[in-house]
Amino acid sequence: MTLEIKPLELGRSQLEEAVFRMKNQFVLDDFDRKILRTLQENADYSMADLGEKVGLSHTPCWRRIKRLEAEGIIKGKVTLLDPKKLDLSVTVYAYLIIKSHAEDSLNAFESAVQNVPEVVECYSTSGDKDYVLKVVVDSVEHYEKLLKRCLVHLPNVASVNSTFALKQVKYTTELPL
Amino acid sequence: MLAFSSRTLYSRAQFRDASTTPLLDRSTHMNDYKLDAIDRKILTLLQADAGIANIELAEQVCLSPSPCSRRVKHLEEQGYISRRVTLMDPNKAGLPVTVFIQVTLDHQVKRELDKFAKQVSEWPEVMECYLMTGDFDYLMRVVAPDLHAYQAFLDEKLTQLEGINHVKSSFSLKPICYKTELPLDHLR
Repeated sequence: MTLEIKPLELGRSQLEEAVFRMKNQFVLDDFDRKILRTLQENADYSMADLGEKVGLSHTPCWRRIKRLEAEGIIKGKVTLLDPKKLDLSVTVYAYLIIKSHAEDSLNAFESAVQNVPEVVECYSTSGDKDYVLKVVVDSVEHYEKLLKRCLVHLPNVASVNSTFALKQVKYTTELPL
Repeated sequence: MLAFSSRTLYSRAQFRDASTTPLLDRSTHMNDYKLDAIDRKILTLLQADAGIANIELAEQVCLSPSPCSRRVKHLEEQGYISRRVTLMDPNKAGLPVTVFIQVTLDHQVKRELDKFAKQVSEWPEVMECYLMTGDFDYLMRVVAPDLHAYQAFLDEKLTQLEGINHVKSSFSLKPICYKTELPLDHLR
């Protein structure tokens, strides 16, 4: 199976890659979706409770979870903390413009940004800005320091435009299924 | 009245202090409770992996298992830990399209803002939404299976809302990083 796919994988562009991935996607049935919905909401369910919730007995339920993990659909279990309790009251969306679109420069930026703990999300975007970063910090002063000492010095950054969140309306890690 | 009740609480706290473990001492000073280095390490490890066994967690933070599990319980009770969730790979779950939508409303009056916020919270496609400073009112991150589905979201949901003045979408070409782990270094 892998041998048949391999030659195809060579030299695929990003778009082709995406199309390929979509076509070869693992098809989820109703039980899988129920399991995933339940686990996304709460990772603490015991196999017995989960089985009961989705209407499967223990072993088939366990087998499905193992398969979803093996397929990489389930990435892992994480603990969510309360940002307010941790004084992380400031959320900033920073729009970045970069200097060069050469692949090496992009890669340098993309690997450097992963190591900034305050940057919790980063996407390259279409439109007039190159990247959007979501940053969480405890104060505006802290953000100002971070901006001056770190963000503008990330490789290849030309300019940073920051917008502050006044209020969180919604934050979820649960993907719609 | 207030002073009286807090004094009562305090004396009760002292009573518990004297008779039991030092951990209770912490739980009595609810809001003053400062996370120490071990708490921060526990939170860092749990943020990365909620499935870590207590015995392993204890080993990594150099505690024996029962004080470690007591600390975790305490952090839960104090509200530092909200919940444990399972993360999925959006690509593999068939949701490769991520869009940032900037929304401007006609009027920035509380009634309209509240109505918008309430509606948006109910839509499962919306992963995040913030009321923002700057040129627009709301910034939303939406996931979709493909452009068709995104178009349908715009046509059938977002633009059907009353009071929407302007919608600007920007597509994510590639996710560079996505963390649910909050930074804890400022607590030092």
